[in-house]
Amino acid sequence: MDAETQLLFHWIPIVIGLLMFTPASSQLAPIFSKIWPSAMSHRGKLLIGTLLVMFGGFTVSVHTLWIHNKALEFGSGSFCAGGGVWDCSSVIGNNEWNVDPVFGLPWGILGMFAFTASLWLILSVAKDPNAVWARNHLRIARLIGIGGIVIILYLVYAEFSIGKICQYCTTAHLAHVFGLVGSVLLLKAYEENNWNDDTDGSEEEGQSIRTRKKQGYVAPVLRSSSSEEEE
Amino acid sequence: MKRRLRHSESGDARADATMLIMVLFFGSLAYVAMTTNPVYVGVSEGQRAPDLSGSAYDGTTWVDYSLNSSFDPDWVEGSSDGNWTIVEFMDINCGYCKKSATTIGENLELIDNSPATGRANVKFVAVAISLPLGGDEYTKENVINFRNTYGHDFHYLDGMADDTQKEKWQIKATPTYFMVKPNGVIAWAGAEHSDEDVWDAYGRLVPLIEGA
Repeated sequence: MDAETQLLFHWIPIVIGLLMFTPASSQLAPIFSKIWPSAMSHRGKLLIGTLLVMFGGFTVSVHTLWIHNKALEFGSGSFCAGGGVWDCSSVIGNNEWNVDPVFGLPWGILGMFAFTASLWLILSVAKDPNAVWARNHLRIARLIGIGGIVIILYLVYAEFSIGKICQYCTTAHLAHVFGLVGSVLLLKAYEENNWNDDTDGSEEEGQSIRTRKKQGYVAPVLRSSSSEEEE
Repeated sequence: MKRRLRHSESGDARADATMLIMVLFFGSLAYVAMTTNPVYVGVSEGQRAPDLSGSAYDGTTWVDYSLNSSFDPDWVEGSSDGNWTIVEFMDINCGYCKKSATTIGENLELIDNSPATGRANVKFVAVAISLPLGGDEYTKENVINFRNTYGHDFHYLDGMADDTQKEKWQIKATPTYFMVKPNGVIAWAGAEHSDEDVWDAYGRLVPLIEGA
């Protein structure tokens, strides 16, 4: 299986994740809702989308680390070398640029750290969306996303210096950017009171929920009980 | 009590996520560790030889030379196929290098002469650097003169223009020798063997040709 075909496997979760940010999510959400019923909600779609995009970024980072190690094992890359501009061996196998200048760690493992941290932050929120720390988690995820953009710009500069573009690195960069978009959308949904399906989206209710969150506990509102009241 | 329970519930979601993410992270890391065997670039034995390229005199003219482009990543340990390379860093004004150049001249039949030697083929490349020392000017002409004086017939790489080669190979003194396997891994570094010279290392490390 050639390098481009292998790369497609990383794009599968990323593309599905991206679709969850779009109106097409209404077609995809029922598939996920069999396992996670909350997937039908706006919040659920964004959470699943962000997690999938970040998971794709994580797997491609692992693959990048693997290529880095293999390039060191064999001396030169023969994994995804190409005659054109797209050539990951020339980038990942380049001893001048393939580790970070501060700690000397391969970029792949730094990508793994970044996506692991982001995945943990978002996964925690997905497991307990109304927790007192949910907002902080989303903010930290956004911060990691913004910080990562600076590193991505440095790596794009490295690719221009080398004169080649690594398709695996680019996939990880795009996954990071899409993950940042997901974090921003989640934070927006949270702050605009578009978080729980049982809220009406009004400013008054939003203020009320925010006040309750600051107090450290959000009482669960059961759908069935509210339906009964309406009856 | 009730308040403490609420905190535990919050912690539970994060603990669940932590366990899941840790399994993913360390599982992936273990997979990479088990399926790869990286050899880092360096000048110690067992490390991959740093880049060595530039303008080299081949006896008639100055040509582009690259040690690394000759490496064979598929070379099998112990095989008598492929080219081993002895790399010498020397200074044309260094007395020890001149003495050593005589010894090299006496061992020329061991260089690039397989299968007559009965061993895998060994190439030799001298890298002329400037420490610098007083004496002759560090010019290409003087490198050619040095080479001709001792009747050497192998490449002399010009490493005098800047300290790039000297720094990459961490050369503190001359002559300094390295023996590089056909796959680019350093088999012998002179700095690690004060009691063995490069020719003894040649006899100990370069594989014999089967049936020779």
